[in-house]
Parts: sequence; structure tokens; C-alpha cells
Amino acid sequence: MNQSRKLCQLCGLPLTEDQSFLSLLGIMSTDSNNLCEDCCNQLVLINDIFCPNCGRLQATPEMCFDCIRWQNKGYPLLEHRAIYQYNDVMKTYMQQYKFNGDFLLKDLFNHDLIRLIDSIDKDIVVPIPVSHYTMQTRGFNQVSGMLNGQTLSDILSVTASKKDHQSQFGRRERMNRQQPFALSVSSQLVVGQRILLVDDVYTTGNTMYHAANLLYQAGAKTVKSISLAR
Amino acid sequence: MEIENLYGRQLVCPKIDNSLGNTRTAFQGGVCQRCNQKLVSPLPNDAFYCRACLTLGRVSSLDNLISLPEPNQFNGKVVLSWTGTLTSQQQKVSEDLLTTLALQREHLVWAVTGAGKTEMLFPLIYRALQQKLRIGIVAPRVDVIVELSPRLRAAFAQTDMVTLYGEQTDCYRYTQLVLATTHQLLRFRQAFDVLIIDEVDSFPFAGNEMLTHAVKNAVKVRHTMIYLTATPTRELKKRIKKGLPVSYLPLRFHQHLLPEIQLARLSNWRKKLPRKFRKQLSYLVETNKRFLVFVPKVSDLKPVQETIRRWFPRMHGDFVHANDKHRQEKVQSMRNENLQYLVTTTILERGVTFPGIDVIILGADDEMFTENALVQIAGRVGRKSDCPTGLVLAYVEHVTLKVKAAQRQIIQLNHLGEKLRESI
Ligand SMILES: [Zn+2]
Ligand SMILES: [Zn+2]
Ligand SMILES: [Zn+2]
Repeated sequence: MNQSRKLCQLCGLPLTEDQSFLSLLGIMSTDSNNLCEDCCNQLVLINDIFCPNCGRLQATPEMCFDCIRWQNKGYPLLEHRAIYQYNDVMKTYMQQYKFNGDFLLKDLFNHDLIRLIDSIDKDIVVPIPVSHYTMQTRGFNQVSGMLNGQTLSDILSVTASKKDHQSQFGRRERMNRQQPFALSVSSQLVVGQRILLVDDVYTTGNTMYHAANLLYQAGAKTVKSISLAR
Repeated sequence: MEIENLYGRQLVCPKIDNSLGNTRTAFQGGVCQRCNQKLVSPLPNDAFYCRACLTLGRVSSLDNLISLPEPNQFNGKVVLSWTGTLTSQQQKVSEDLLTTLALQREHLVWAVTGAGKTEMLFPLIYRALQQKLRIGIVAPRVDVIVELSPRLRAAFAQTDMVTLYGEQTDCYRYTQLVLATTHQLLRFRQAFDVLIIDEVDSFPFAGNEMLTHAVKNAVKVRHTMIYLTATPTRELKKRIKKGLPVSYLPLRFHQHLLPEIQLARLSNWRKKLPRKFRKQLSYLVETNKRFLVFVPKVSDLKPVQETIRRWFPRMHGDFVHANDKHRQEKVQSMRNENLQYLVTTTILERGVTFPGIDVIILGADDEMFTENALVQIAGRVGRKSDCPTGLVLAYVEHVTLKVKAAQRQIIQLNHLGEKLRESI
């Protein structure tokens, strides 16, 4: 067996020769350079029809039911955009990068994220923070990790010292949880700013709306958000 | 965590968590203390983690390793619920193994495919269980462990055991008998009085530094180590010459000889599977034979199976490879005879028994098939006493030295087997 051959960073299978050829021609973006054809094909770009407020891939371009609920609760809508659908291959990526802590995988979607950030008007880019416990165990913030090369403003911190992963809670419990974030800088730095929030995955919107709410209260001019997956 | 779940284990625990057990630092001079490799990758704030053993859950400089000494807290009550009998040759090997246990040393069992290695182990396992020893039975490949597990459960119905493989971490219990892939040994430390390594010559164990370390680390200072193989590596053969005790068994348990490898020429099969191949298959279809088709590469699987399906649309078949999510299910349906054929890579070359099958190898001269792989593949055929023979057909573009050597190895084993048969 040829040991020197490059392996797919997600499934571990060897990359084929035609693939290096494709990337040579620039048909594939440099991000997917480390993924095999199979994994690449499973990635679903959200670029066609999606909910205008949460970026969910769907059949119609109208606002989805979840977003109507946020609106009814009185939250200013986020115009959230996500790059990929949160499907099996994205779950595998999150499992390996975030939960198994393989920090080397941080750059896999770096270009995709930077490109999207560049296309949005904003004054500062704010990553969703992780708890002190996560920093002491995982050792990194998975959002900041993916944003290598982008100037970030770490103005949020996690207040609830929770070890538990969000996925352990039922949907309703998640929605009812208290504000998990606090401002870690003076609110003068927020006043009048157009802020772009970044998270890895948008699931219920709970995280983003809590963070946005806090920033609006501190005087932010606008708050928009993006995530790698939805 | 139950304190007994730490007996003989080495688990990862974040430094900031309170932990039970004895704590060791996870890295020394950049060398991972779990897998003994120096392959670290950085984390922010000068932290780092080991990439060599990452699949078993990350070890980082933010962690400690925790463990407790193995106390052999077992009651020694054991019932052998196996009712079969050993052939006289199997009996002799199993006696060798009891001697090995008494002397606490290393021993190699070199037995042809289908010799009935598992049954030969039963007397050894029985005695070791009685002596309250902790026993590990490991193999490099998950299929081997999956197939071994129900047979051991049946043979020692009263004995609690766990089967460990893959990324599962939830099902571990403290048991006297542990079945696991060799990778899982990275989670043990001085746990086993007896360690049996099946298919010791196979990938990914053979020549793998990390797994060799895992084995050394998982046994107690005083231990018995049994290696099982049908096709020893050159290194093992060297060790035999230097005095590693060995038992040979060149004859299958049903006393029939190994099926020999037949050769046929087939060129350009990747472009278009020739009529010759179709004719061979239609013969198998007519006689209702079940079969495996081995191909060199993962990328060959789909086109080959699609062609077979187009030719014989009513015949149920599938293809399977190492990273296949449904691998276990597919192998199980082949076992249950719900599938008539499987197209496969070398992952099914060993450890699996499908009664009464024939085997076809496409591109047998490809570098993916080693001499020993071809011998193992041939060994899938004729494993049951009611169906002791069958077809092993290797298609080649060129007759290579390697293919010749595999043919010769089987002929030599059969020669030894014949002599043994005459001597009884
Ligand atoms: Zn892949
Ligand atoms: Zn929506
Ligand atoms: Zn390691």
C-alpha cells in the first residue's frame, strides 16, 4: 500500500488522483482539497431557496415557522446565513473537530467562512464563546478556530458554568434556558456597532437570539449572524 | 464512575476534574503516555494533543491518565458449556497451551485456516478462568472479534464478558474475560494475566509500533501470551528460529486438505468485465453456489457489483468495504444466506466463515493482494465438514511470483497435512 498518499480528513480513505487533478485545475476550492470525492459530494450548500431569517434550506423562500415564533416573541430578526446543511457528513465533521477535539480540522472550511464574512457589512465580528470548562478540557473555541485570519472581537463570555452539552436538553428546555452570555467588555465598545455573530451550527436559534438580545441591550446598531451549518 | 471500572485500565481524565485512581501525566517529553508515540499537534495556549491514538478519544496536555492496579476480583466459578470434541491434533495443541499457561510464557499456534483455533483455546480459557486470571482475547480486525464473540459466549455461558471495538466507550464493564480489537488495548494497563492475539500477522497490527506498545502495556509483568496465525509474517518465522515455542497444525479440523488456488488469465477487466468471467458466474448461479468476489480497490467494488447485477438481476448481492457504515449488517446477511454473493476488498480475507462458498479474486496480481492475503482468501472456502471443498479462482493479468508463492504455500501445507493424516 502506498503510505505517502494523502487521506481524506473526514473518512480516512485515500484521496484519488483525479481529485488532486481537479484541485489543480481549480475546480474544487482549496478547502475541500483534503476531502475525498464521496465526502465532498455529501456536502450540501445552502445557496438556492432558504428561509430569509435563519438560512434553513427549504422548498419555499418564505419565513419558516421557527422564525415566525422568534418574531412573535418580539426579537428583531437576525437574517442568519449558513453555508452548509447540517447533515451526516457535517455531523461527522463536528464530531471529529469539536467533540473529539481534532484541532487540525479547524481550517477545512476556513475559506468558505471568510468569504461569507467578507460579503456582509459589519463593524466587528464576534464569535460565540465557549465556557471556561470547555477551554480547560477541549482547549479551544471551535468557532474562533475556524476563523483563522479574521480579526475577532471577543466581547462575549459564558456565564452559566455548565458542563452539559446543549444536545442533552430537550427542545423546550433549550428554548427556556436563561441568558447564558454576558458582555466581557464595556458596553461603550458595542454602542452603535454593526455586529456579525458567528457560530459553528445554528440549531434552534436560541444561542444566537440570546447573544443578539444582549448586544442590542448594550446599544448595538444591528446584529446579524452566520454559521457553518444549519 | 464505579471504582472497579478503573482496574487495569488507563483512561483519560481532564486535569480540572476530580478523579479516582492513580494519576499519571499524559505526556513525557512530547511522547504520549497512552500510545508511546511522538505525534503531537498544537492547541491554543501552548497546549497540544496526540494524533496517533486520536480515534480512541483525544489525549491532550490538558488531561491526565488514570488507572488502578488489577486485583483479580473474580470467583473462579466456571462452566464450560461447549459440548463438542477436539480432534486428536487439536487436543495436542490445546495441551501445549496448558503447559504454556503453567510456565507463563509466550507461544505461537501456527494452524491452517479452518483448523478450529477457537475450540483449541477452550481448555486454556477454562483453566485460566478457574485460576481467577484475567484473560484478553484480541484481534486486529473487528470482523474477527464480532465473529468470535458469540462463540465464546456460547462456550462459557456463565462467564461475564465484554466485547470492545470501534469508538464505543459506553459498554465497558469490569469482567474476567475481555474480547477486543488490538486498538482497544490502549485503554488497558497491566490488566491481563493471559493475552491471546488472534490473526497476529494481519493489518493493522503486524509491524505497528503503537499496537505493539499497547500489547506490552496491557499485560501484567508476569503473563502468558498466545499468538495465533495461519500465515505467520517473516518476523514471526524469525522468532520461531530463535526459540519461540510453536504448535503446528497443518490439517483442517474436518481432515480435508485446503482448496488450491486455480489461475486464469483476464486482462483489462477494469475496462470491461469479459465474457469469460460472466460464464464462470453463470455456472455458479446455475448450481446455486454462494460466493465472494475479491477486488483490489474500494473503487472497483461498485462497477463490478453493478455489472454482476446487470447480468443476473434476480440474484441478491452487495458490496462491502472497510469504512462501510453497514459493514456488520452486510456481513451478517451473507452469513444468514440472505445474500448470494458479496463483492469485497481484502477486509473479508480472514476471520469470517460463510458456509459452502466459492471465491473469485479479480486482479489477484495487484499489489493489494499479498502472498498471505491470497492464502487467507483461499482459506474462506471449504470450512464446514459437510462442504469441505470448493472453488478458489484467481484471475490475473500476469502470473507473478507472488501468486505462484501463494499457490506453493498451500501445496506445501497440504503436503504436511497429508503426512499428518497418514500418521494417524
Ligand atoms: Zn472522505
Ligand atoms: Zn427560519
Ligand atoms: Zn497517543
